[in-house]
Amino acid sequence: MCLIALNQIRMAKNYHLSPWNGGGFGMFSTNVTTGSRILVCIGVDDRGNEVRLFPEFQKLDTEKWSKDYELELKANPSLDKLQKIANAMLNKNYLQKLNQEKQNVGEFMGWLVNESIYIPLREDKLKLKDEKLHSFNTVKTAIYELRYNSKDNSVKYFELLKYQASK
Amino acid sequence: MAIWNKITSLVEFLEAYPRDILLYRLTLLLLVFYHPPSWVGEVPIRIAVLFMFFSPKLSRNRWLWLIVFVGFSIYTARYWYNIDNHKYLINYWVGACFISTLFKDRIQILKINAHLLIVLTFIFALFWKLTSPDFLNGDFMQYNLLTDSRMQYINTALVGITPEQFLDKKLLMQYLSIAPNLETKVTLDSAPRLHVVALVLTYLTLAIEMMVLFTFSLKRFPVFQKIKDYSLQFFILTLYPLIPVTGFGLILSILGMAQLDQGEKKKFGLYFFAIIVMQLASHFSLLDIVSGDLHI
Repeated sequence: MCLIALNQIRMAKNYHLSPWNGGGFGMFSTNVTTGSRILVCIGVDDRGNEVRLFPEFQKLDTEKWSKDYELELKANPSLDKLQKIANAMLNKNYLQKLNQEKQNVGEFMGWLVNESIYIPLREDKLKLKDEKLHSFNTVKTAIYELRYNSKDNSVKYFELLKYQASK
Repeated sequence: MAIWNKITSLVEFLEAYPRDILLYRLTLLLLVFYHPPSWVGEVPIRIAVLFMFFSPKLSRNRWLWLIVFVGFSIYTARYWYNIDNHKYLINYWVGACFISTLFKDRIQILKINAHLLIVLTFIFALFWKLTSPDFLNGDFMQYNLLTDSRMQYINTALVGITPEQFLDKKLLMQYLSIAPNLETKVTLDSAPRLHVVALVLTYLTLAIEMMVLFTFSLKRFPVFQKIKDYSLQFFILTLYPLIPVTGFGLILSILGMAQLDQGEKKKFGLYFFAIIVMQLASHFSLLDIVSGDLHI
């Protein structure tokens, strides 16, 4: 128990392991949790426009993924993991879709949201006839962490780690 | 009165029951309720339980405990980054159960290990709380009062922020998580008593955890020996009906029971009571009761 807990303390203090995870009994001691972290993937096209990409790991078949890769990434983020995702996403073509999830929550609050998100295709031939394929020369991946500031009682995302892959 | 007498005689019967078998079976019950959600942990437990529940001899079988321990450990090693801390604690305790079956004086081995696990759990929990950048200043508790639905009713009762305000901010934060960016800032609701309530809860938590650690660490002194179990029971019975982490409450109750001396009936009865409260808290926590969420 001591070995595992001390190793967890080492990893959480020196790297980015969430204190809640890894068996060091750091639960209920900090606001940094797996739930406060989010994976952000951005595609940059020829004209330099940045768009949001949806990281659907099962479609990024140039790499192998564990079934809870995103969870593992959020609990213990590293540049290697971000690099793996960015390189796999760079190899794919994408379809432009409505960001349904954002629209649903927006509607609930009475907001009109009409934003796109780019979904990867496992194979290009799976696209419908009138759909246009999009590819990106650069893919940026990052882990954002939601932090609470008690001085002005607000929350805001901060960039914890980032990686950029280009063709 | 008749019911009370029956409860008392049941507790006395259990207290006098061979302690090792009682602990093995309570641990198995815990494993049945909170087994790892994977075949590697679940199947060994299901098989072992079939044998162990019907024969006292098989309850002490080292091979069955070894199978359960190996299965649980493989699961823990595979999902080390994701599983809750009490799953680790259960894993260590299952290891202690297995090790105890290798010795003649099983009860003593269980007793020593249970005491050690309680002390170490609270040492590491306190280490994190004392070294965390956002615990001692009350930020952790303040943020959770404002955003954790399990604390919403404490917030409403003590701070005065309404459930509607709470829901609005929760939606805004959900929106932010769907469209994360580095510019947007969500300002949470505030109230004059918020920081004071957060600080009181922070230092109350710290004080109770310290009390458990000190009383268990200094049990050689008669005064601490007398109160250590009440401090742990106080921790379990005040925290878990409010924030129902039932698995943690159960394993702590079993560990508490395991380190008792034979004949400590009152303390044994209270740990048994805590186990029952944990079962109720899994569906009838204070949160469920206050929110009226008691549907079948």
